[in-house]
Amino acid sequence: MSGFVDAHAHLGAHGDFLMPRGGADDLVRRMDALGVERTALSANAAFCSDFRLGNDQAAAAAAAHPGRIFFYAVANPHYPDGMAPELERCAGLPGFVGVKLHSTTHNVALDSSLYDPAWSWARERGCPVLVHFWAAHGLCGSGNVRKAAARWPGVKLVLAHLGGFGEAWRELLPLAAEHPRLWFDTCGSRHARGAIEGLVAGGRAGRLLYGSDAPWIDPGSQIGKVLYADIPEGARAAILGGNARRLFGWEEAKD
Amino acid sequence: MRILDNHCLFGRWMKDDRDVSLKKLLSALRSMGAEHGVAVSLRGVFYDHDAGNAETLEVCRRHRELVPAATINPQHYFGRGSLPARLVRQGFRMLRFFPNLQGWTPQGVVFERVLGECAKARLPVAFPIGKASDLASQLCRIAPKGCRVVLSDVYYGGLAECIEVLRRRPEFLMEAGHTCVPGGLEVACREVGAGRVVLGTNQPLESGLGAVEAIRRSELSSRDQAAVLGGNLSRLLGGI
Amino acid sequence: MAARAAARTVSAAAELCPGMEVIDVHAHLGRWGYPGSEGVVDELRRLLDRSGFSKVIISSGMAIAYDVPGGNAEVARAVESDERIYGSVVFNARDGKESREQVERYADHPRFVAAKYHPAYTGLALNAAENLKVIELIARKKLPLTFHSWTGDGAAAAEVARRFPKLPMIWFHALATDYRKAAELARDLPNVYLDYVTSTQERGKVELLVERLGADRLLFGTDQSLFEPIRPLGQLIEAEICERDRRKILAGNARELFRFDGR
Repeated sequence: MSGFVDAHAHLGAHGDFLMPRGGADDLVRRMDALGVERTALSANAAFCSDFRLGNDQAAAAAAAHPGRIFFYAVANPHYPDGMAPELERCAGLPGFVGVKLHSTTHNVALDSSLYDPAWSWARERGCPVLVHFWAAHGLCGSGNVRKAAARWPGVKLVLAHLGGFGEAWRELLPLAAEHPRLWFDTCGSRHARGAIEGLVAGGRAGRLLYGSDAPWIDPGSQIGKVLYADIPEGARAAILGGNARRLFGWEEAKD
Repeated sequence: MRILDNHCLFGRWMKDDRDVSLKKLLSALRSMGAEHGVAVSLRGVFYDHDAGNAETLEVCRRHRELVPAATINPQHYFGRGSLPARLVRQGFRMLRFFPNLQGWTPQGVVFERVLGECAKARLPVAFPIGKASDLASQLCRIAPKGCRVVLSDVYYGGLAECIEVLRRRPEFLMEAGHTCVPGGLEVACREVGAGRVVLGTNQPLESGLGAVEAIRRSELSSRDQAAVLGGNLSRLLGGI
Repeated sequence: MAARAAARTVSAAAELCPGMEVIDVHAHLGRWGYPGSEGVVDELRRLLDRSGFSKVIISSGMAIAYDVPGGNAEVARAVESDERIYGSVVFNARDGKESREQVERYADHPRFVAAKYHPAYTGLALNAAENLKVIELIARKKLPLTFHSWTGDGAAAAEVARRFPKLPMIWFHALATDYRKAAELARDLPNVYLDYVTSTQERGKVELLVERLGADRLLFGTDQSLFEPIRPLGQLIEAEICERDRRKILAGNARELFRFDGR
């Protein structure tokens, strides 16, 4: 069996948070220890400081670890003229898998027209858009996702963090029923016990992606949530890799 | 009269569409008639203080009107040895903190340690007070003797508290950029002396012309105006 | 040094925007309690000499914070003392009939040109039922309604603007840091004007409001004597907008809105 896929990770320093092991080599060491073959990440610098600097860092990590590290390019809506060209630039670099939007760091609602160039670009390219998702939030919550999903029906949309802490995952079931093409990743520091089981029981095993949020969170704690979830083995295999391979179009690859 | 602004930033702003580019900072300083600005790279604020400090030094080398100020994020400060001492050797003249943008308060012991190192290294420190005046009082209690703290972003609500702090701590100064009550500047100078007030206007995020004009048109003597607009800061920075 | 000393005898407006009139639509009388300002009418007149503003519309800090009739009466005395000073009648609908009586009393006063409401002191949103009764009277009296608008006040303010489409409203502070939202809301509400002053003079704010809403709907206000009035003037002078728009914002729009030419 091929290794696991981590569909949501990060790289490098962030102003608000000390991450002493945030480098690409640190991440690969941790991937080796946990049996993770591939990780799709975005750079923290792209959110907290400079999107070009961050995207360059992410691309450099992918280039240094081909076949292991892949990257999402971050689009910053406050530089609207630069969004599509920056994504185009990143798409030409090895390891690019999609677009990451982070509404709270940019203080812009997910459904705001400021993000239009990024959505439109992603729709044309057919690549996934991973969004920071916090169900009750006014910028990146369920309401914003509903509007964005309705406006951009052709885009493969991945919602992160199971919607936030605790029981927020329950919001995912009605959203998934309304928009069956949504994907969800599992990373987060404080999920309620039974979240993954609940989503699998709700029929969403085919849309769940293992994500670690490393180096914000140690991936060991995150992969454990999936490895020890009380779910059928087929669902576990899908969450730990099969679904991500389908999402990123890696199924045809030689593995 | 020479105009020196202690509170300048440049880089990228993530939360909205405000222009804080280096180009904007340089044009803002020209538009308010400032000869020098003490500037920090926002890369050091939002991302990584080492990377930002390196950028600040490099930019200040290219633009002589900018005087380098470093920043330290106490949440990322855990190593041994004094970073402030190193910063002084590298040519930094000021250390500016950004607790509001980074989400910490001055109650932590790491911050206390940095203040101690700054006092030893003779590196002045700028700290934003805003409307929460008790921050000035906390600094009054925490800062070790000899630590030259510049109370920055002093608003109307915090002015009385800052005046009392300056009375108790003769090595402290305050910025005049935001003392926006009419007469506030005059009262501060009367109570603690015009030699304790420097200009700091948060360029290029805010308009600087109004702050400068408010000082020029205050009831202070020409000599005191010159001290507030530039003389005091020039001295604090070791002669600019 | 000689040039500077000479400049101090000339007002700020005369030096910073020569040949342009400046009307401050947002000012106060009364103490706010911060060091420096006494908030008395003599201080206001000194500030006007120094700034060179031709007209100022004041409301009473005491009426806003504590005593509506007492504060409005202070303003009535102040407007008699200096021809540059105009008044704005403060109301607080929590006091029932009293505020309606106050509006009745001052609406026909030739030097009271607006009504003023401050929700943070009364704890009542602008669109609260109690307020709507007073606002109806204000609209009938054809007094522009000025209102302290902060982040979060946008929905209530917009509702009132829609309910009274002929009542000119000035949203003081333009919802503070939410000024982008204020511009967006006001775009669809032709009776709404914004004054952009806050204690922080954000660079680029005036330009953004002119671009998104248009200079015709912006007014110059300073919030003196809580704030130093030269700071927002400097902000407008530094703003990268055309001179025509600057003139409109500084005085032209206020002249029309408050019908100063006919007074």
